Amino acid sequence: MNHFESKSQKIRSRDRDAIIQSLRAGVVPRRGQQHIQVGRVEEVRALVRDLDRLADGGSAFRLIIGEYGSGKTFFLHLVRSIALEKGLVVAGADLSPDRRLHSSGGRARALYAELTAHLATRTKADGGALASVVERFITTALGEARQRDVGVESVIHDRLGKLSEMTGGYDFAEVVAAYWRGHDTADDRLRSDAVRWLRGELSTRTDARKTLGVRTIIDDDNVYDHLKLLARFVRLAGYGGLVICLDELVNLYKLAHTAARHRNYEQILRILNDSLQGSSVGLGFLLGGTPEFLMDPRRGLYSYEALRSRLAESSFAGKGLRDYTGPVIRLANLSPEELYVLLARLRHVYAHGDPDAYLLPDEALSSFMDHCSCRIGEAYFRTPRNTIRAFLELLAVLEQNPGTSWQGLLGDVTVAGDPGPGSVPLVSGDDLPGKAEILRAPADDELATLVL
Amino acid sequence: MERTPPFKAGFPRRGTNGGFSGFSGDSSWDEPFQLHSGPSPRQAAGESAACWVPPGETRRVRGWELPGGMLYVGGRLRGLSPWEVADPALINPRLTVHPGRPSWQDEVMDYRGYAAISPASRAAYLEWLAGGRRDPGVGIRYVYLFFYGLERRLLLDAMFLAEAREEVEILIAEIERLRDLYGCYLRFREHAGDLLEIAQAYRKDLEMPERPYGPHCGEVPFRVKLALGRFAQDRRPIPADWAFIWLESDPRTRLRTPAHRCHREFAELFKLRYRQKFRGGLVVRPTRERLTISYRAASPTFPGKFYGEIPNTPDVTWLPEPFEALRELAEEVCRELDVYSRWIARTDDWEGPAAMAVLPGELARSRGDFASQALRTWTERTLCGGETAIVPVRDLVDRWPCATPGKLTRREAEMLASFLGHEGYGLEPDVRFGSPALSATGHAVLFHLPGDGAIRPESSREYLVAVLLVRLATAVARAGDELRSEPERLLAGVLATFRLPDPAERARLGAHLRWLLREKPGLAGVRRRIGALDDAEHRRIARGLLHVTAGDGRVTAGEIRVLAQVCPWLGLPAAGVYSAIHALASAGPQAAEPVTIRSGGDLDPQRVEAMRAATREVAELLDGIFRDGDGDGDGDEDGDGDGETPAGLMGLDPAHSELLRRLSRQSAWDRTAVGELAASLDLMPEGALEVINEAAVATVGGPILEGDDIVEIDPELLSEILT
Repeated sequence: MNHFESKSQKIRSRDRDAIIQSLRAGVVPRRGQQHIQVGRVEEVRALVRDLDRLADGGSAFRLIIGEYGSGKTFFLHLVRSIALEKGLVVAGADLSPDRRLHSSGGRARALYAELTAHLATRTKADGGALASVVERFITTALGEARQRDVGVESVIHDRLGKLSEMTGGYDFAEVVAAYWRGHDTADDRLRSDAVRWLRGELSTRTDARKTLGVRTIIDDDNVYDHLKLLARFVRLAGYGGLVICLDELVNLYKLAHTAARHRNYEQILRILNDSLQGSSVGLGFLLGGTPEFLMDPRRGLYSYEALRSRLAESSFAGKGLRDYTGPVIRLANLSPEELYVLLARLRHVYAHGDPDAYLLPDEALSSFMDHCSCRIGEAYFRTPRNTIRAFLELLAVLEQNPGTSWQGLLGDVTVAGDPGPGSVPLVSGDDLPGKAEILRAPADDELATLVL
Repeated sequence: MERTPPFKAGFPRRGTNGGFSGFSGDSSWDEPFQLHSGPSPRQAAGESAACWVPPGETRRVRGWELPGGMLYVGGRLRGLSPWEVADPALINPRLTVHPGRPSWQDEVMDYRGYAAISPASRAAYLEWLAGGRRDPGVGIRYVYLFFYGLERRLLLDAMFLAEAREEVEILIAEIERLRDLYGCYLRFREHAGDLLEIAQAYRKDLEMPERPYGPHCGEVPFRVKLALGRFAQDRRPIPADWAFIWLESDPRTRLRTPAHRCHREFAELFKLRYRQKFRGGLVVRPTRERLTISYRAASPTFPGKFYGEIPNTPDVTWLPEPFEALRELAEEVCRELDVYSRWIARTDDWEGPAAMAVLPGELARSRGDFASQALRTWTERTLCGGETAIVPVRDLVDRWPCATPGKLTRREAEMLASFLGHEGYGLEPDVRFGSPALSATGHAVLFHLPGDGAIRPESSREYLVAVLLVRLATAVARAGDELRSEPERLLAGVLATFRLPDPAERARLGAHLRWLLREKPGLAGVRRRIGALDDAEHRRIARGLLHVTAGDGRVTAGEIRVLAQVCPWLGLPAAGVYSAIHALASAGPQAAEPVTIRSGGDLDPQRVEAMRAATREVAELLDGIFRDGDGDGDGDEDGDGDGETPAGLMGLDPAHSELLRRLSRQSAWDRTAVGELAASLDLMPEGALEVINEAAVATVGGPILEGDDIVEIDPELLSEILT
């Protein structure tokens, strides 16, 4: 029945295991998302265009807005994988009370540190690629130095000359040169200090001057400037550009202090402006947030007038017309049909892409959905995490006990209601069992999904 | 006129306790009359034929020209009663008359006839007859003499003589004339009235009595019974006029004050409601009970009471069901008129605008004094043929008789709206329909009420919900940066959400919307009114509100602010508002209608198929990226752009190729060992691994060297590279 089976493309064990293990643990898989992506073709296409533009030295800015359980994080991971595949460098982090875009007290620097710690390239998809990026840059410089027969350090300064015009650019070049010096002189301490500086881990200027001889450090005030520098730098190192994925922006919305919230929104506005004006080269931002983060007129992005007008959706959108060029991408919660197709894809992945090895027939999928619907009501497709988990467990049992009838097992499947901040799906059902869950705090496992 | 006698008749047999003499089949008049020595009715009728002067003929009697006929003139005319030799109505020309001294005084006993009175009285009688029987000063006994003749003609002759039956209409007219002329003699009036009732039996088409019978006539008048019996016999519906006469004349009827105090309105409304309720009239099934007559004749010619039975005509007035239906209707009508009745009792204002407001609309339309007419004309002119018009409330107040000049109380506002409603116009805001009171300084919307003008006094629950929705929706739309929501669009949205079958309510909703846009009221009082609704209605309003204001997913911040303010009133927390707007904005074209909970069993196959197609599409797109990336990824070009030795592995430069070759000797390396190896080739370890892996990803689809402290080499990929 399935269209994708007809191609009968075999799914690599690595991808399959990553997908199944992550999903069974209730987190978003870090690879192989392409195998289980359902629908959203226009959204994906829009982001692919963004990434292409980014690789060409353009910029990108997208707000990924979706409810709890609508797959924001999954979508961000998918985009991240695509970006890596396209030779871009990706850095991702979740915002939290201790990691913000703007703050005093080191919280913005903490975000920068988190981002650089999770810097990933295609070959180092799990993060920690900063040193590789720097070394790759230096390696190319090395080759050039050899060809031109000049000192490596001067080649480095030459190549980073463009950066010097930017805020903090000169010191940045100094630090990269220091890294080379550390390597050249086998001074591991100098090298690691340089990396620490680049990662934003140095907390005082004194340390920086003492160890690296530069007057500045990456601080709360210049985080964004350094991200721009980093983006230029990765392009110089031979990558297409830098994609920053920030999730859980709702943490900004939750800031109780109005001025603090506004300063964070100012940063977003700055990022957005730079992106729209094209002044950030090779730098893209993907921000994931919930609808209230966007729309709350008192505390959301809409409370900030300048952002409100820039984020306003096209006046031609609506009534079935969608505009995917605007900065806001909205993700709808899953429908039962989408969940059905998703389960079919999971079955496909589980069978390594071999239709003959399917553990369940088609009717089992809908029976399974019926079962979940009875157990937890509408939540089974709106916040499908637990549904998926239960489905994979069912598949695992069937795989380990060949010959067992799925009908017999179905009754024993337990699926828990999602404890997440499920919102009231007003436009739909009236008799939602989980209406009392609205005010609950977001579940921690959502935060756990973006470990790069 | 009937060709056969309309009834069988007879007189009670003496000594039978007043019972009927019995009606035998063939003969109209029964045998018992043969008991005494008098003539049989047939013989008597034969004698009548000889003496009768037909109407219109003039007869000369002892020097008097008697115009108009309708007299018995001759030598012999016997009465039916055994003791009456000559009929009292007979004018025997041979009897003496003293023309010189007509006696106008009453000296005759009423049972004695022309033959028995004095010559002077005869002169007076003939004088009166000669004068056209119209002298109002004549003694009533003379009128009776003449009336006896008419009675005989109607009751006896018409039974046997066809020509007599043809005169019935003329006789009736004459009796009516006499009754009108001498009605001051109550006894005569009664006699004449009774005879007229009986005479109706000769008529095919009954006439309505020109005067109402009044409520206390003892029993249902014969004419009414006759009419109702005929309708029943023919299975024809009883017309409203007859039904009303029945109701009024039936002794069982007890009507409440409004029926008496405003009798005219009562009669009109009763007939109107009767037609509406019974669709043209009540149809009564005929009964076995025949309609009977009993008549005590004035003329001594007839022995005692005259009884008759109308063949083929049932008496239906004693039936309880139809009467009960009429009485119920009367009660309803009284209730409708209660307010009006009390109003006129209190104010004595019968036709003012306020009185018109409390009168049922059907009556109000055709009534009204100058002020009412002026208000009507003004309204008509203001609307000027259009559907709606915005008017200052001041204009209305000035035209209404307010208790406090210039100030309209709530009750007065209701009456004003009700008055306009009778004329087919609506007024918004109208407190009766859940709107706030009219403000004297504000504006109101006049509009045409579609339909037949039948206004329900209360709005439907659906309307109350819809009007709240419109109120909220305009408040939300107004809070937007611009009023994007066109009124028509907004209204269409509301009407799509609510089913208002009544066109008047739809028009009212539109007018209310215009008023809201004109007056821009705040949200005061809305919360209280929302609180009066139930949860299901709250949800409907909330859903409708979101669909109307945010249905296309485009909502301005101002709109969201108001939505977040009002939605909690509807039991929807502010967070739910954002979710809902998001759901609307992110829904694809297919999700225009609200989603309902569906379980796996009832998946929409079309949507599943569409989703599969979309998934296929995205899978192809992603496949392209994750596979074709190998060929044209720009990373690898840059990665080995400097080292262009073709002999290198995977296009790597010699140093990196050499490093990979050396590394391939062992399946795993310590990180420091790798560093040393790289340093020996003048490479940086991290950078070198990155370059090699980059090339590997581009060439064979995966990184070949992995691990942090221990660097492992993927043997599969390595063999692929080396071959």
